[in-house]
Amino acid sequence: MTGPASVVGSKAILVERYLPLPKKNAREFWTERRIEHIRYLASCGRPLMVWDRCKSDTSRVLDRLHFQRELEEDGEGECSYQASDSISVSSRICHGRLWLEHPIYLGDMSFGALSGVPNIAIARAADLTGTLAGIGEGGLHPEVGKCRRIAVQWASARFGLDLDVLRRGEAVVIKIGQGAKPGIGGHLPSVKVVEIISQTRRIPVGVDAISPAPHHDIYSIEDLEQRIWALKEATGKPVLVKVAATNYIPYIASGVARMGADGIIIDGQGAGTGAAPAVVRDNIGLPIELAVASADAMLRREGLREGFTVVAAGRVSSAEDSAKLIALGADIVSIGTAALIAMGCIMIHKCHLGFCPALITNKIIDEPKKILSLETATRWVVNLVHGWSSELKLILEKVGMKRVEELRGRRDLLVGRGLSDSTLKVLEVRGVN
Amino acid sequence: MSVWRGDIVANLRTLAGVEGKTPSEPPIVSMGSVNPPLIEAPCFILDHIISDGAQVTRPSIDPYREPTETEVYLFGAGLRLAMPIIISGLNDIEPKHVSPLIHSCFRMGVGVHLEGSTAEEIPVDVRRFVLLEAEHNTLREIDGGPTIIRIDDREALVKLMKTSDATHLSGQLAARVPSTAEPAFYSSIVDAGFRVIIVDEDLGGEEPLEIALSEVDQVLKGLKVEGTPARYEVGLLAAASRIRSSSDVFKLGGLGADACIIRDAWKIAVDYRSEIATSLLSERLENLLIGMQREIKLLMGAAGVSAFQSSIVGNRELFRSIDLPLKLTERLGVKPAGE
Repeated sequence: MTGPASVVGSKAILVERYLPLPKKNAREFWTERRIEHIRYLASCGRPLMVWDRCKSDTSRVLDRLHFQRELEEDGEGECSYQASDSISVSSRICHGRLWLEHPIYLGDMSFGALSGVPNIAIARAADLTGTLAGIGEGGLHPEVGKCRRIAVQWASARFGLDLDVLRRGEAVVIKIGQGAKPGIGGHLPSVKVVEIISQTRRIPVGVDAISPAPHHDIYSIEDLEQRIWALKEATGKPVLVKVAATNYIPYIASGVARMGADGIIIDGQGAGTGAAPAVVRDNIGLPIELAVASADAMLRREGLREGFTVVAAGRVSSAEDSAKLIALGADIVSIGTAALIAMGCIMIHKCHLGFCPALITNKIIDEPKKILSLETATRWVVNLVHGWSSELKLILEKVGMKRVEELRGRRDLLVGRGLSDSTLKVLEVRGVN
Repeated sequence: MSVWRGDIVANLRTLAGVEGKTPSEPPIVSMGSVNPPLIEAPCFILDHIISDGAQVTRPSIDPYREPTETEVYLFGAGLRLAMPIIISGLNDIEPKHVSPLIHSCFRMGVGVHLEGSTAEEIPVDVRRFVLLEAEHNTLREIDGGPTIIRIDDREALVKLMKTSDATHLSGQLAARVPSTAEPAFYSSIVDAGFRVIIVDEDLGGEEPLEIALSEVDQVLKGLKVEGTPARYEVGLLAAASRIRSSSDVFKLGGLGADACIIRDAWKIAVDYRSEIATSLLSERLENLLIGMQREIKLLMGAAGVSAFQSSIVGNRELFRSIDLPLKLTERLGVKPAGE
């Protein structure tokens, strides 16, 4: 197995700067302003704004939700101050078994989809910030395995898993689905299956790694219960279940909680992917805000909410997005695409081809001319987490709270603008003009 | 804003083999979707509808490794289509291309809707796959193969029945009607003996295709023909030049269409120009159809469904709407997302 020396190639030029953003004609969620905001946070780790001004760029349901407090004041421009030290964003999750310094989970991106350095940077950043990093489906990169704050993923293909790997992290994630392709399995295109990936995943070189759509040992909620408890007993760690936000998400969430899982990661429509069929990505799945609101309502109704953790994922782009998702019922949010942007992603949607100009999702080759600087990438992600939390604290200060946990489920603080009656009903949020 | 967004056209052309190097393979993409209604602006109700992904409480099906069936039957078992697609719009292309393209559809098991031709002009071996539109809304053309008669309203139906001098028609007859949601109109069409109804938005009508289709489906479910629910006896097709893709076909299926009539999408996909060699057009059309079938299978598999006609058609429960007014969701019979 290749060690750190060859991952951070000795002869390669280390890339430590962001690429300029290309001009694009097609519409995009990750607009230039959103990317610039994330780059600012990643560069200095300080807050740029209290209220997310980028939300006017798109018309997600979340973009049309506002904190009542924001509408009461004149829109504040850029801000350079920090919130009071007494405000805390640390969160206890998974029935109190895990403690996060920030309410952030760094999304499940596999080694293979990402090219090694970004995987290590994310895992190290999780250690440095006291958050948690999901390792994705591709087995454990040896350097990632040295980090403590990781969640090991148990997905339908079981790539590169054994008992030792499963026990390495702070938690185990059973991956049932992902927001970018609900109902179908992971896909690593053959062009990216090189020697080291072949070794880590224990599959042949140059062959598409397509994971089965379902887990062939999970065909019912009872099957899931058996896997949850088997993994808990085998590892002694909390178990989270990752699902896509689909039509029956409230029932799935209550089923997952009832079967003994410690939490659920709900991945919404629009979430990132390394490769997925366009027809599936574009036509299946709910926006995370609707899924979180309905799942939280069901969990509360069933008396299953206490201690159980809801992680909201999919197009989480700013601290205000986190705050709103938490107010709708999430405990913490998962950041995937935003972390890639912090490491230099310019959103050209070419990950499946293996020619990432930002060197994040490129194919791994033996003697690369350029390689992303691990040190810089790690610093960018650490800064992103700090800057993000600083902005979140400013929002908490505005709504008069000391701890992020007080915000959870406070839908009464939100109002919806230009949302249909059906949407407001699901969100349990008031509409305004 | 154009209905034919860049990514939709690119997807079609990749399937057809006009672009890219993997014809017939569902195009692979990466990073987050920008699809309507939340990022791109929605054009139609279809853009507000999403399909289900099966997980946990029922497994998804892996269409790469497990069988999934896309065939649909019309006129009882009189017409079997390998996938819920019928190609139309052949009347305005270069005549030399028509017969080879009909043969391409025949090979793929896809129906053809033909206007402005006579039965004699259609190659005999494929006649049973061609839904031939009778000229001047009369029954003169009936010759054993499926025949379409355009019926614009109830008066037209009454007139047709008078001229044909019959109270009940027989044979493989389809009525092509505007996009309207008039229960009485549809029940009289069924009473007259038509066994396929084509709701065609291009003929006008006061409702969007999605609404009309969904209402007809529900009307037919409530009617009976000789003791059995009319919906089992009467096929329902959706037609509009704005049907763009396999996902549109899939969602219209959910709203009640056994199959969709595609007019413009295939021409855009094969990059139709009269000077292109016929063999190349045929190849592209066949690539496109295989590709669309694979995409439909992916959507079915993701939803945990193994048979299109029995489990997708009219199965509104499998779909949800994003940010539509409650009133509209009730008319569609599609619940709001999250409910």
